[in-house]
Amino acid sequence: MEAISVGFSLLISTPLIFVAIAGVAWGILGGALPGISPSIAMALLLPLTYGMDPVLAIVLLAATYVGAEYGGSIPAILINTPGTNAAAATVLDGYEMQRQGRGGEALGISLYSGVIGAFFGLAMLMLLTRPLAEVALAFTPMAYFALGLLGLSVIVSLSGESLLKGLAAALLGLMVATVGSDPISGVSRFTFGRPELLDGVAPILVMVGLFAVSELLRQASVSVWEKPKNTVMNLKFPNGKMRKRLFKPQLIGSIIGTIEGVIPGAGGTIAAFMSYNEARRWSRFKSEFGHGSPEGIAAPETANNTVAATALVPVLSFGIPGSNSAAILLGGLLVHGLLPGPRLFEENGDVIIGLYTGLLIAAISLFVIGMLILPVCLWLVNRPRAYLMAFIYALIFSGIYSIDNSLFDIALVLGAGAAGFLMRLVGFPFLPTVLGVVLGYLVESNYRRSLVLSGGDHAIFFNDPISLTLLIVAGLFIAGSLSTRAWLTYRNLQTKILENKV
Amino acid sequence: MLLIIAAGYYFFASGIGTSALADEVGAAGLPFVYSLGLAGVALVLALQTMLRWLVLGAQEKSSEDSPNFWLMFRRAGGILTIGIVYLLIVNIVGYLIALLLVLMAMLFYLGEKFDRKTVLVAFIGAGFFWFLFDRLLGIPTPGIGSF
Repeated sequence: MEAISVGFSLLISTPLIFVAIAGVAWGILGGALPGISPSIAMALLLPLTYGMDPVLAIVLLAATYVGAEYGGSIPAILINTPGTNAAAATVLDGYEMQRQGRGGEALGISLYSGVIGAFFGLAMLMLLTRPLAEVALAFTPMAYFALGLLGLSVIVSLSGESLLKGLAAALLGLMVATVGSDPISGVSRFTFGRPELLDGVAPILVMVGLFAVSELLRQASVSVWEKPKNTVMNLKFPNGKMRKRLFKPQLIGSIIGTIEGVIPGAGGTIAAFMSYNEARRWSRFKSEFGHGSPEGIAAPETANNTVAATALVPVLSFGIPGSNSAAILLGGLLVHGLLPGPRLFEENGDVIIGLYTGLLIAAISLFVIGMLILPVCLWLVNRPRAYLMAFIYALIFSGIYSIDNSLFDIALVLGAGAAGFLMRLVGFPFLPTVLGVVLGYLVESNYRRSLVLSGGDHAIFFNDPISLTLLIVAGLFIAGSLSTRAWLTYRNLQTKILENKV
Repeated sequence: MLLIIAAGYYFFASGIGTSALADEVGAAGLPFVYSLGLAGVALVLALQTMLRWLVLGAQEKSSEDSPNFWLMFRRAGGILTIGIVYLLIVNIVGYLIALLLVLMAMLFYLGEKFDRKTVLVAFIGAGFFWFLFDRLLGIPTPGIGSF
């Protein structure tokens, strides 16, 4: 009760509402621009926060994070370009819906699910910070390795028609993830003397190349452009029946997002892909996935927006930043003399209440700002093909350059785009490659750290209870997906035989 | 193609240096596993394709011939060329002019007429991106002669 009154007094006595709204608006802009990651959007604001009141400074940074995590889905749906790593899973069905002229519906679902994720994540942050923090601390290198394998197990069901092609694509992604300094010894690998490669290849470069540039190349390579039929230009929110259908994938996204959010380093990308996979597994409309399924948008969007809030748990509880964005938020806390940990909750309760209040306002304003800007975005992507493609190309060049002020990054994106175009032509799926790039470092570094701890004994992965549980779950996922595949192949074969007989 | 990638990757992995800090697996450990894995998958895929050709060869040949891949490559290659030219000139003419040229090149390449409207749109677009990234976000974009 006291917390509510403190929050309310902050709302009326400080410009907290405006700061939260400004943070969300800036975050959406940053998230929607490929290359401007949530962390960059936050870092650009950091100097502004030095002179601000601590509560307002933290709210501004946290609201920017919330806005950016949502903003990434806008270009993912409209132009096949994930604005953030976590939005890559939204591309799958979001862009398909846009191609079918249902972009307004896709944006409505992503906004609706994003807001639900933001509220759910906030509720988890407020209610379960302490117990969730214990989960974060229990994660060992072995558990991280097993978590990475669990993420990679999704490949089996994301491989499309050919599992072998999916495996090859995933291996290509894992290979890309080995570029740069070795995580244990620091030896440089596959850098060919280029200092730009010492830090590895950022996943966003591979994603923008594979999804966006290869799509531009594909569109340019066909003489007749497939213009969406019966394009709905208005933002369309899900009706009662659809909301009921979306409940299950949103619940899956919320739960996975909560768990992944509190684990430092796991992040929204794994949460989004795992939620997508689970939503498909439990859906009554499995065949729609990959072809414009509303559930395929709802699950990852709910998950990555839940993560935006629950990722604050390890930051506030222990000062462990699980991502670049969390590190910047931690920097914001430290700049204002706020030391994370249990004492933060006791000594600076007003800051914590202010943060919760700010995140609540951010979740509400996400909805309002989304409603205002999404129709404009829809109008923009329905301009003539040549204009749209030219502007997307210019946006890619500008956004990618802004990551590291490096033209080399643009060259990498063009290379990934050319590779993606070839993969499209020979029917190789992209998503396993993306997962390989995202999870490769996590898997390798923790596998090797675990072996250093055990002196080379692989039994360590089965002795750690969390690792063992995750490995069993991964094994079950793979077995389940393989049996579903086998059953579908058998059914297709039967249908073909019957057709031939007729 | 996959076999060539696997072989090339293996070749470069074997050139990875060693360090006194190295663990049991080593910096080249997993790269070797990945390259061998890719080679294995590539061989199975090749075998699968050969078997399919043997069984369904004649039926599939006609459907595979239908898309004109060279024409598709040529069209897509034009877009890639515009990107490469951008990389080559951006440090000479600066971000604003290079982007303007990219926009105009893309518009003409994709079939728009060279008229006042197209040029105006390219100018407005380049100006918008320059304002957004250079002015508003403070990204130090390449200036004229910044090579």
